[in-house]
Amino acid sequence: MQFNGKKLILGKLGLDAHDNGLRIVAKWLVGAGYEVIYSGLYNNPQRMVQMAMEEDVDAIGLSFLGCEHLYYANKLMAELGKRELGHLKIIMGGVIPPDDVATLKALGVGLVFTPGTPKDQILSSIKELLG
Amino acid sequence: MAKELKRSVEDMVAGVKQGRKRYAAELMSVIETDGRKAEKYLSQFTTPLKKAHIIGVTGWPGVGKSSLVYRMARSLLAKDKQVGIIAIDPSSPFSGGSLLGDRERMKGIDGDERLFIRSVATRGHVGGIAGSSRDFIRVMEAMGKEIVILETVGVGQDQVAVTQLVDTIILVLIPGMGDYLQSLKAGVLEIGDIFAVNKSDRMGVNQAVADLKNMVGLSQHQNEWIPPIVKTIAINGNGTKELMGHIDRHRQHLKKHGLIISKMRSAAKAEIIEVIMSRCIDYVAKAIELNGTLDKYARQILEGSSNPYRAADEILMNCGFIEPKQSLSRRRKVDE
Amino acid sequence: MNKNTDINVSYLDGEKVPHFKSLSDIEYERIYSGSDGSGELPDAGQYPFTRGIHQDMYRRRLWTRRQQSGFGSPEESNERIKYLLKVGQTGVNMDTDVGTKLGLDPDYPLAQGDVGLQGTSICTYEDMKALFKDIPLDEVSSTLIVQPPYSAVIMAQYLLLAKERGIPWENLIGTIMNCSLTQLVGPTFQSNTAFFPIDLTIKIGLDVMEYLIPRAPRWNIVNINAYNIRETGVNAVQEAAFSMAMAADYIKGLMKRGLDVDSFARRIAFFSAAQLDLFEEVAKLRGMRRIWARMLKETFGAKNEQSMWFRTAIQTAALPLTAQEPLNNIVRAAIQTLAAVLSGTQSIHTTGYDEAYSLPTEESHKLSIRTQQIIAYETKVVNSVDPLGGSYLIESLTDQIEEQTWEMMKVIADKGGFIQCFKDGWVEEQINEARYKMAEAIESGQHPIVGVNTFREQEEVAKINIFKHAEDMQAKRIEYAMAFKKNRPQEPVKQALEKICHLTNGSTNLFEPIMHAVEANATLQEICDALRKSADFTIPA
Repeated sequence: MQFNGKKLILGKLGLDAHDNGLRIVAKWLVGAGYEVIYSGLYNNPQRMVQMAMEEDVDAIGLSFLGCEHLYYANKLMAELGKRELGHLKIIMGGVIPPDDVATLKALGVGLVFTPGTPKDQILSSIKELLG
Repeated sequence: MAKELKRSVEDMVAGVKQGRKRYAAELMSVIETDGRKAEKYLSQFTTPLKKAHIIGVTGWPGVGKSSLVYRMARSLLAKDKQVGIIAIDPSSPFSGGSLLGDRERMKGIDGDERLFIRSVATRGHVGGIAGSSRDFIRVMEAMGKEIVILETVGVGQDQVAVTQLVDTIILVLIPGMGDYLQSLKAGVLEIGDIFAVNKSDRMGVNQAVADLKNMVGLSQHQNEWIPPIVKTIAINGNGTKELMGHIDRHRQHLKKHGLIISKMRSAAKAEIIEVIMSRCIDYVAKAIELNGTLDKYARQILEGSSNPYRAADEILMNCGFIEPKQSLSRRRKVDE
Repeated sequence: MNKNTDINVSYLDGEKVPHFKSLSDIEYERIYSGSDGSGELPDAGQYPFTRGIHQDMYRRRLWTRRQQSGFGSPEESNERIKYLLKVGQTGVNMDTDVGTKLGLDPDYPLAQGDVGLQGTSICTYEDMKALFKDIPLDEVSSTLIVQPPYSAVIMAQYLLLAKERGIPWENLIGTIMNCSLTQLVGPTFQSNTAFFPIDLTIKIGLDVMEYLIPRAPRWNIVNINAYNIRETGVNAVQEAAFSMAMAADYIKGLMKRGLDVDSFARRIAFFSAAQLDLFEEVAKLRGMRRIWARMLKETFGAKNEQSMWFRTAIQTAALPLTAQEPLNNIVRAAIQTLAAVLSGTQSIHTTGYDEAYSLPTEESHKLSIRTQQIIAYETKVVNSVDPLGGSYLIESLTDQIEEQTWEMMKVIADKGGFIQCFKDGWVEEQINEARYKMAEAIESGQHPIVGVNTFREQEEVAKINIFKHAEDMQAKRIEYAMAFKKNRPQEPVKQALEKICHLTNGSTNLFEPIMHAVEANATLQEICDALRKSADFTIPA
């Protein structure tokens, strides 16, 4: 198989260190032919956007397990707008209550995965989003 | 990812020369995906030459290369240097994807204006480096980077390719690799200009240093450079100062013996050959339907009615590269 | 995997579970008989305490119902503590938020998004006062979930509070978790060392213990965090071995400071997990009691029997709880609670059914307490001590787990002890291997989870009440922290912090200087930053 032409950067914003889900998704994406830049923990929104720009990725993938998703979604979208990087797709996953999914999408988040979404669904949704 | 560049050549070149990361990032993507298209930008950067000090950091997975590169970059930034990091990770031979994890170790410096980090996958290129590595270095030099650190996937014999690209090679090892060192063939350790024994707070560090000293002593070295061995603990920075000192010394050594210029000359020649070969293949592929033709010849070879040399000659003949008469007479000579 | 709701005829045929291994890969026999097991057992309350550390166990006194709580501001958390005590909780258990756990004030930029979400945000002495308002510190025992070096600040705040209320420290009952290697989520090594240098963390943890031992004799100086270890996905044997080895390191650390083992060992307790393999969990705790007793007596030469008592607080493991069909978690937690009771634990936190979504609502918190009360009062399992003791299966499993645990403890000891193994990356390797195995087992269905990879229905949205934080909670906390730092006399703070800086790199016990800084109104982060500065340590921005 060959590199499928799409790059993503995966990471976590803020202090939460639960990265198990993120690592697993990273592995799945690599197995599906993506190039995944893994930036790990303790990122802030400005830095995340900066890295996305330097690596010229197609999408940013974030995971939230502590209810901080709305706070960071707002900050991230603002930063992307400021840097004129609105074309980047945003993917979020983790412990996100179903009520908040609509709010996130309205902010501009492209995909939201709630806990237990099977691997196949995650991969096919991302494939559809990135084209 | 930018595959189509909306910027004009002038804009792009100017932006990169100003050190603007966004422009450089986009250009690098084009280099990776469409080398031919990238040429028209890259040709603007080859002259006048702005040479940076290129440092290669290589070693077995898990020895702490990224953490060491972090320490090196941090030390350089503290001296207000312009730094570039190209972090190379392997592409999976099965899926084609790649996990590029070096950014994880760069926290604390990765927001710095003076630092540009780019993660690269090998995409099938052999030698532990990526096909685009040389051009990436070129872009970084054009940006004004004074030092470019190339962190490569280092496992043994295929590291030799790195030597052509970089000026100083640091080989990173950890204690407990004694058996592995013994099994290495000549030529592998020789490429190290500096050896770093990382995680040196672990058991066996003195043995590791002794083993290295033995092996290094056995190999040939050019121009009397004796590769120093430095103990480091990348996670807390121990040994960084010493390491940076050795890098400086090596750079002086290279300058003193004119080695940088001679290497640049060889590299230029090698690159011309590469471009010629790439052009030739492109030309052939454009002139004939290459895949189908290759299929046809492969079948013939397996049937025993042809051989690879004849196949190549016939293809080149069909493309107009060689005259029919010449190939006939060559064959007659061989038969005699 | 079953993805549709049509009738699956193959089940009418007779379903089977995929295998007969325990959660720790121990093969369960078809049936156990008299030839398994090690024979006669000493009574509960008798060395080596396999059947229990007290002769009468729950007949004399039930385990403590100690639900973790804490969210948002100390004031909000105080309300929830009072509510829980009202519905039948018998001990307080306060959990701090991520920022507090990492020694950051609410106004630190990287911390702002996480303030108060996963626990109480504590920053100042005032906060501690607000958290424990109206709670009688000498009548109800409190567990403070905070680790070194931050535990020094929080403990100092608590001691000052007691002093202010005229309660002698000898009368304080409770625990400070104070376990150095606890941030085991995520990239283990990184998350434990990103915000504070590890050697100083361990040293301050011992400083806290050393300070408390002579002054607060009824206070537990550490809870060895076996729970966090288990939550990473490792098995029961690893949970037991890692935690025992870690305890051994702490004991050695204290003895190196000249302390006699019997002066402190009875104040060491554990914090364990109760997973879903009920028999294995019971066997695990029985095995750990035996191991602890032997280790204290034979390895460390303890003479006092109380030093040999293995005491633990149990939380029912959150790992097996699912986001799908969350009401199923009530059943899971109930069975895990039962396992904890049958194994003879000292206190229990029953994890809420909404664990996968958020912090517990009042409703789910109450249900957790009711679960424990029903088991205590309605099922009769508390009527006899160690009710499963003597079962061929339980005795055999106890022996097996004990043996495997000793073996692993030896491996760790040979590698230089748990702390060394941690620094060398060995622990992280074990954890990553376990995580990977678990993920594979879930994907393949070898590890069945009802409603997730087995008996899963089409996409349904969970319909439960999910806890919501107050909208302005974070903004208010951030404002409070900034105002507090602005509106106090700055000189005493400066002096106290300077003193800490000077003493950091020596061998002086840092607890008192830290307590003086708290008294001078320094905040948690200010104190930690002083320590970080002396250790030349930078934290992520």
